[in-house]
Amino acid sequence: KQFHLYKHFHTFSVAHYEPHHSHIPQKPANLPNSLDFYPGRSSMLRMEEYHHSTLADDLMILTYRDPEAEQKFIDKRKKKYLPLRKSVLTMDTNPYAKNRPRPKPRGNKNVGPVPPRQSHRTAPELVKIVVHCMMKQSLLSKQHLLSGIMALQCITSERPTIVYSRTDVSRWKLRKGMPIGCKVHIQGPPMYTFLDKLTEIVLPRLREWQGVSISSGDQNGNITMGFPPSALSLFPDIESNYDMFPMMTGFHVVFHTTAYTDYEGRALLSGFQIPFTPGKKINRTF
Amino acid sequence: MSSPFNIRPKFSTVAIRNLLARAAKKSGGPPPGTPGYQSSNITDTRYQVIKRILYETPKPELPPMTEEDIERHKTIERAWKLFMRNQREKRDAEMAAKYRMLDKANRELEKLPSRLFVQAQMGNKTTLFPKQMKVPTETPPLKGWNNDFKSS
Repeated sequence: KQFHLYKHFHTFSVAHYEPHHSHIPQKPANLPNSLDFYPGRSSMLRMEEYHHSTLADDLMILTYRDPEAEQKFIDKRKKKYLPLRKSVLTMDTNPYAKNRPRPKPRGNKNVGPVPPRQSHRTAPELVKIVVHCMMKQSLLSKQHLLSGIMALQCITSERPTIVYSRTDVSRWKLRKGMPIGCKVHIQGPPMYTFLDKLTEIVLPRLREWQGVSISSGDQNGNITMGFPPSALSLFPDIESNYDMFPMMTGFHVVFHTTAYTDYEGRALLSGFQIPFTPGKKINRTF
Repeated sequence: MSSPFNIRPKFSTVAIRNLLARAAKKSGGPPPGTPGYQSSNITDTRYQVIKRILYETPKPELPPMTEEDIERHKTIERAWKLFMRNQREKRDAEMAAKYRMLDKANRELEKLPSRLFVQAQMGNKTTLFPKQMKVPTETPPLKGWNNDFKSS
């Protein structure tokens, strides 16, 4: 009987405010009574502790550049990724341009990172590892992907995602959008346990393998290495259940570091006991 | 980072292993010698089992949590995060101090007339950590110390 008062009640239009660009969306705290819950590290991470106690200090000294060399290095990188407009060259001195994002370089090139001024935080660190497995047999039948997915999940303890082809290659009967492989990104505790397994168990047992190629790298401190199918069986997670995997596949491992040169990335990984082949001398790029 | 395998599923690992072992034995097909043999057998029954494990495991029974349980859990989480943050900040402060001294020393060295150290720094050397540098372990090695080690 009192509800007639609400007949002419107008719904207020709430102004929709965009979140501020500095707002970092926080992941909601997951509780154990939800499927999403990640309990966090369950053991001591040997590799992480080693990095903090031993490697970090040494890397800071190894990657230190005196002010002159640092300036040369930054200028060289800026020159490589030249901006579209000349006015950007005075960006550092222009007070109005502070905190603006760096514009795209000219010539339709890919944007490359320009390293920041060095500090105690710019010593290289291992950020993430990407394990990628391409299976040619999945062209015949999609179910061969399952073997790769299971294998990567066993190795890394994370569920991989499927990789789809981006181009058509009629010679291999490949069409765009076909599932061709799987990859998994690992960070934090799973990454360090994977690295531990790799350096302690897998790499020492690889046959006729001298080390990662010294020329490996994407010029920005990320190092890649490949493994033959026989390497998969060396992992303890797979060795124990060898018969249950229908197909043994090779895979690539990409180490993503915060280094800005391959030299620094290599220095970091060699600290984690990943051997590099003694090839021709690679100059330290300044 | 979700890991549904932290919570124990209805299928135990032993049961899954038995299933797969049986499937592996059943996967017959032509022997490797025959002309029509394919190295990657499409009719492998193990694929069905793997598919079931990956995509059709039953949802785990999640533990019921009272409000006190939730409060307890949140307190522990916050305490752990605080502990990690304190460790991180302590490390950061140490590194900052070390860097300051390193930078100061280098700048002092530059003022000196002879730049021998800086020349050495800029030399063409591939500096990597030594290959035999052991990452410390919780327990000593089973074989003890190898006195007859030779670096190949």
